[in-house]
Amino acid sequence: MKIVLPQLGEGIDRAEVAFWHVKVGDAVGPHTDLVEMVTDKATFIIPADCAGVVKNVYARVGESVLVGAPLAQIELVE
Amino acid sequence: MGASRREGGLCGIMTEKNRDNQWTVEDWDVIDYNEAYARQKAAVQGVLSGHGPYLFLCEHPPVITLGRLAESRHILISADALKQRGIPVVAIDRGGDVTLHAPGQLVVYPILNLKNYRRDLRWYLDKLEQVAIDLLKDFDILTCRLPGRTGVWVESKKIVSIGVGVKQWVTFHGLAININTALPLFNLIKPCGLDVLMTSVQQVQGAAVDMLDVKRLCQRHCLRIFAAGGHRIS
Repeated sequence: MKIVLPQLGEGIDRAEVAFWHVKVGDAVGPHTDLVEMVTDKATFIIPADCAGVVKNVYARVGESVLVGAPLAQIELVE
Repeated sequence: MGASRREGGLCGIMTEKNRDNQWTVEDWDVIDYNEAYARQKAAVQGVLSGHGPYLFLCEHPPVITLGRLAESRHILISADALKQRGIPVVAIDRGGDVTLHAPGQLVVYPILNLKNYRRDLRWYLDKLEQVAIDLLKDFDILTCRLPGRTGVWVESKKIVSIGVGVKQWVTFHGLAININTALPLFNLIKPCGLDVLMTSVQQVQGAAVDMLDVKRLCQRHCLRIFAAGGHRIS
């Protein structure tokens, strides 16, 4: 399952990766904080939204990510 | 939350637990920054679990905080000098650059679920600015917004700083409004990374104002502004 940057509001088309709460190989649950994005005066913490293992992360801290672009891939646990 | 109504606290303070999206308002008086942060995070979990919104009003002992976009060079004195003055530096998970809190500055932490309002960070920042603009108008202070510079200004001087965090659309951190703040403290930093002068209600009016009056008005404006944009989700 790919976790993408959601819509953050009108006129916001991207955000910067501020902090990864997880790394590749970490087990996560639906409410685990995955990554913290920042846009000007607001940070936005994105949860894993599913249970599984972090298989890949697509952006490093400081990188800018467009709305809708992937942030991480979670391998679902059956 | 841990705090309850105290002697000298806010009039009309609401501390009841609720199930109808009513606000819980708490006046924390002067509180350590890290303690306030821990209470906010506990409230965020509460709201995520279905509790109504919280409004926390407080002041902090002198502290410099670094948002996620902060550059350490925006602190203008050495770590040793800060230590000597007993002013800690705290790196935190809010947006924005460097800021300073100190007694005399009203700090406002709304903890609310934007899913009940609008899932829009810009909208939320605008509403926070509006709370401060309406509050300062009560003190006959004419303020303005500057395009691209979140915050509230009196001509070219900054009077309100804003930096928020949002977790699963639940807000934390918030507003810092200079009421009777000792303004020379801002010489220790480059506020928000900008070459700006800070001002306060006291400086504009020429006299200190009663913080309790300010808190009462702030509570009123905050609840009004966020009531207007909200709706209940059953």
